[in-house]
Amino acid sequence: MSDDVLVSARGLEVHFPIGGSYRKKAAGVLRAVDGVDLDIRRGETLGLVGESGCGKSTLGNALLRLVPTTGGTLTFDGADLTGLEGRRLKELRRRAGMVFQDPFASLDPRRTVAQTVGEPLEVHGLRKGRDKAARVAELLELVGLDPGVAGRYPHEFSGGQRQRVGIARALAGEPDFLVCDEAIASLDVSVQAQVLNLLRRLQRQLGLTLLFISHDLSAVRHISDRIAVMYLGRIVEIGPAEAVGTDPQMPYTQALLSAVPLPHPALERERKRIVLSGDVPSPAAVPSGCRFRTRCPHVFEPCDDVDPALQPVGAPGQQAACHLHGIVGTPATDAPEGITATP
Amino acid sequence: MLVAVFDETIAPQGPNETSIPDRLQPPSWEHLFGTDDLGRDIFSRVVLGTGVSLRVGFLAVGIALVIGTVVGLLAGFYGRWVDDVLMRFMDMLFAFPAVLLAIAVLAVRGPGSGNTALAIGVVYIPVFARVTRASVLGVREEVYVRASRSVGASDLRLLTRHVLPNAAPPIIVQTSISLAFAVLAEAALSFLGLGTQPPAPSWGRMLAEGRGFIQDAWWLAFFPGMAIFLTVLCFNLLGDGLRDVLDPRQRTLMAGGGR
Repeated sequence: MSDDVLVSARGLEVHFPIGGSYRKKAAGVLRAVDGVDLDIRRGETLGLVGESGCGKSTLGNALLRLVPTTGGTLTFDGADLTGLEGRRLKELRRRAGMVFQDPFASLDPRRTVAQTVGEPLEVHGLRKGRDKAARVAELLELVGLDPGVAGRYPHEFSGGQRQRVGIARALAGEPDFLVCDEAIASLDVSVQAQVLNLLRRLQRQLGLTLLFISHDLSAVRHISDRIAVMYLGRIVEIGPAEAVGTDPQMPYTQALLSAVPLPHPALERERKRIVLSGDVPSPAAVPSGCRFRTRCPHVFEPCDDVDPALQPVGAPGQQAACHLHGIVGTPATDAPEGITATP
Repeated sequence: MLVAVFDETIAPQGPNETSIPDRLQPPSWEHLFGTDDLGRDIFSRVVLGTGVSLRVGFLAVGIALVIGTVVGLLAGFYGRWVDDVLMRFMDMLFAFPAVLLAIAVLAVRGPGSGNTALAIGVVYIPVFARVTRASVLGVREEVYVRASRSVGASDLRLLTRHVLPNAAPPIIVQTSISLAFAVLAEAALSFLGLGTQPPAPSWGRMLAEGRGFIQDAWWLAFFPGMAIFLTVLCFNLLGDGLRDVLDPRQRTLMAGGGR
């Protein structure tokens, strides 16, 4: 793994208007992604975890320009992505692929496997005629499917097989970067492991950079080099998988980890769980200061007023956004005098 | 359909051959469906009318299908102002009573079967636009459309390869229903003297002409009516069948059942 950054986001925002249309002013703003700074290094697997609705998938979609960003900057291999259009946007979509959550919804029911997997080849004019059929067969073999299934329709396959077809499609354009958006969440447990191992094998074999979005912490620890934890549209902790997985520095990550069952009954009985009270606040009404303060067991004074920034804590390369490690961040607009904040 | 192709061979007698002595004959072996008030053979006229009615029906639905589907696709897929502009225009067309609109078109263009088709077509454009739009609204949110976009497919490709095929079933059904209605509309317009001009045989006009004799000679109206009824029924069955055949899921089910 090198330090060479492939995908980089700075202050990335994806806000959705609530209840408005293009004629009517929106009644509010949904902050799905709200100021994300993230560097994904070439060749690494970054796991992105968080609860439902925290903006993981929106972030993944935003990185591929599948949802419009409303603020911040985004670069891919050094080139600015915001505002990219036409041919250059198309080129991005060849170099970056996506594997979707639900393999029953992500394949067009009216198109054969060959048509689905071959679509990127057609779109980008990469292969034609017999070459295309050969490449499709090669891709199917790569994801562990019999090339003979090319003429079949999606409904003839099981969930795991469909997901393999989805992976083959994502790989057809020989991308550098692959976003796996809950790619194993809707599969059976036994199949999850197969697909997870397939992804890991492909990542190594093809030198892919992988963003692995999931709410399954053990799966993420299994596959990732680094883990980023997201809460309410913001990355609250990021670091090497080992460090985040064993020694989390942010109370939210600690609570998340404590919810993972342990494989040994004795250990499982000993396991201390940190149960968070309350629900995730609505992304339409993000709390001032630290966005986790409404549920944090360690909440103290500055949490109300200062929005914490990521700061280096714990292991090398580990960062957390929490005032317990020193008050760093942007004060809320109505912050009282006396609290000094460093940007 | 076959009847329309072989009309000249099947028809035992010219459609406009009159034979006053044989007028208003009930059905017999000589005149299978009887004769009308001018002694014309109804069977021959029904057979020859098939071509006229179907041509007008297909042409009308063709016009409505092509324009309406394109409008519906664009409105449904792009939404926002494209949707508003196109659909409000469709509402304007829709707001006119169908026959009045058709009469208006015919008044401008003059009567005749080509113009009848055009008039009926214009009336049905908004129907197709709406059906298509509704269907597209559902399909465009499907993950596979986003997936296709994520590999770089253009809007045109998304529309033609993914959205249209998956939005097609209701459009196909609508087509079969509209074919039936177009045949009826042609009849109505012909009855008003704006459609197919006499003496060319048309089911609708024969029905209208037979109306006056319904008490004494039921066959005048009955056989053209049956022809319309059977055609409409066939189109509906055809629509259902087409929809099933075009669905890969159904196709495998049927193949599996046969094995």
